[in-house]
Amino acid sequence: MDTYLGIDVGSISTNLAVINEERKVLVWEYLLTGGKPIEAVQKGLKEIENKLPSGTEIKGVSSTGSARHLTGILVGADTVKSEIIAHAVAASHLIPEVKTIFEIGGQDSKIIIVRDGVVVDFAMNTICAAGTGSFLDHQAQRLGVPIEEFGDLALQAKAPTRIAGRCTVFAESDMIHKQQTGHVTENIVAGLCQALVRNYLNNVGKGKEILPPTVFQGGVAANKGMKTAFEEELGYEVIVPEYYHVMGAIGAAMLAQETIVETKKTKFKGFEVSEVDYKTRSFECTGCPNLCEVIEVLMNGEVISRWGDRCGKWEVLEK
Amino acid sequence: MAIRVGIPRALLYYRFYPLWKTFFTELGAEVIVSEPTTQEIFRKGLKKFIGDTCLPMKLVFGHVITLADKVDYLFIPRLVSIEKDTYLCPHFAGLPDVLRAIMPDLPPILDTYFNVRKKGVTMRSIYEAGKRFDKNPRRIYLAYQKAQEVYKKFLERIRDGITPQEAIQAFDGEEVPPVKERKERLNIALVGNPYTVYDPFSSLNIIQKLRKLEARIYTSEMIPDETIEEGIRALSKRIYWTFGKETVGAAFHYLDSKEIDGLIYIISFECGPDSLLKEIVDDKARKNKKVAYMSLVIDEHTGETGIDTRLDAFVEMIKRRRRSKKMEGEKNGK
Repeated sequence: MDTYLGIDVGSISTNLAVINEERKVLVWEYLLTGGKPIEAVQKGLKEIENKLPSGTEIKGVSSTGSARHLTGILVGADTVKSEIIAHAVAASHLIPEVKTIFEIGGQDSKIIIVRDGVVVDFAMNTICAAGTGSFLDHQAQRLGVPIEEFGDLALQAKAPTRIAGRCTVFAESDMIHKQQTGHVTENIVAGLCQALVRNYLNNVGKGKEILPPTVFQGGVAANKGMKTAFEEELGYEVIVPEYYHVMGAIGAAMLAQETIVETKKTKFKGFEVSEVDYKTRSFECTGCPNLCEVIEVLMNGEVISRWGDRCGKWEVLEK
Repeated sequence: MAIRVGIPRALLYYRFYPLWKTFFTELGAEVIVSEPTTQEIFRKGLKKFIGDTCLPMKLVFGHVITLADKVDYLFIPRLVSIEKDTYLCPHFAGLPDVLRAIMPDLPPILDTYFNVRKKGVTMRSIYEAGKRFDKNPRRIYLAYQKAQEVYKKFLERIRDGITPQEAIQAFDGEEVPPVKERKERLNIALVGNPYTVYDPFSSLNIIQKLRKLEARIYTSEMIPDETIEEGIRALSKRIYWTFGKETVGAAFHYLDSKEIDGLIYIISFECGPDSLLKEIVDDKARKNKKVAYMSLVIDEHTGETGIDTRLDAFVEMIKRRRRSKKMEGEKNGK
């Protein structure tokens, strides 16, 4: 069987997905990056290899997410694209009429506007991290609510508490204040979801033409409280797709398939890369006052790639 | 030994450097420009700056500090207005005073007053700028004339399609690859205050990044003043900020023209005029379904992942739009 592998390495999670020629998802893997993208990718590859039926051939591979370049080098990606495109490609395949995509991940949130299957506009959170997964995680912990139960708890709220969502700092102090005055946890949790949705729509979604069908994906889409809060604010149903948390990886797999149509042959180094000794190291180049931090990737002790320099003199490897 | 005049590589250096340098050189002075912005220069400026302001103003402090012990004079003109009926941001007018107040040990500042809002550049301000190098008004005027000629040529080079950054390099005698020889497949207009867009440190190297993504860059300097005026004629009110007018005029022109695939507007966090003008450009861009649009807010960050992700996605969006349009065209053609 011919398949395509997509790898999305974000700040919080690393996702992998394998699709077949018909773009059906065969297997997927979701694991935490934990600040170690190389190890996460290697571990993910091993899991995927174990899950795949024997005789499966990977015909193409693509990487996305904030560690996409590093990952691309490790696995030998056929194409390396920004996660915005990967998310859009996956969503518009699964829901062909999609017009708006909300994607809320660990460290950033995005809105993608799609018309007739093509991305026409997008935005990412600028200077504000309110409404991202990390903030919800942190608040759940503070309230003593396991993050998995956060959404269900929010749905039980009878009268959601008003919480300032403009800024995480204010949101937190507002929440503490409301707790102290006797508001119950489920109302606070629901209020927090509403505040984050308002913040998202006002900051990330500012000025964007938000139309149904709207797809909500990324790790935070697991939170039913957030989904409901979006629906209340927008007045229509928001779709959370089956594979909401690995959509970036699915999109990347689709991009790999697209690329192979043109290039024919994959650069994939095979699942063996999960066994290879990869290391990164960095140094400060003192060639000029820019003092660029140059990153080197080493395979079995040998430098295979470098980046981070503004002038480009380190990018070219001397053979 | 020639008198040394220091010009910080900041603010209006990115617009007037060839004019200023020629003027002072013609009068026998030696012009020294601070090094391109680095993290170190930025930090030096930040340490001295009191209160909070936009990135470009913080940067000029760093540049001035690095020049201080290398020059006899610092050229920091007091710029109120550099063009008829428009103003610069008040920070420009106060800059010489602020610098002197915070750093009393600086070399003397040539703070020539420029307010051409009503009458244009006056002989008096030209004389003021030059009198320390030559007392003869005629020679000062001739130096100014020469500087203007050189400046005109500099502007013409930009109109030919190279960026102001490259035009400055060319003026300094460096080689700039001709536009024709470049392999560029997309056309992207880049607008914003010149001191933000053309300082690679501030803009996180956006021009180089876009070129790597095979984009040809169009800027506001590449279009004539009349076209800029034409661009904003539809607005209900004149824009009285010099660069604001230029930016919005250029953005409107490019949005209406069929020359470009995408428009990127770079604004500084904490810039008052930018925050207002962004709304005007956003609004116009939203109504235009043909040109891709994105605004980028820049501040002190040095992490480039954020900008890389956005630029990658922006360029990819344009390519996919084109492809789908082509496919649609083929379908309709059959």
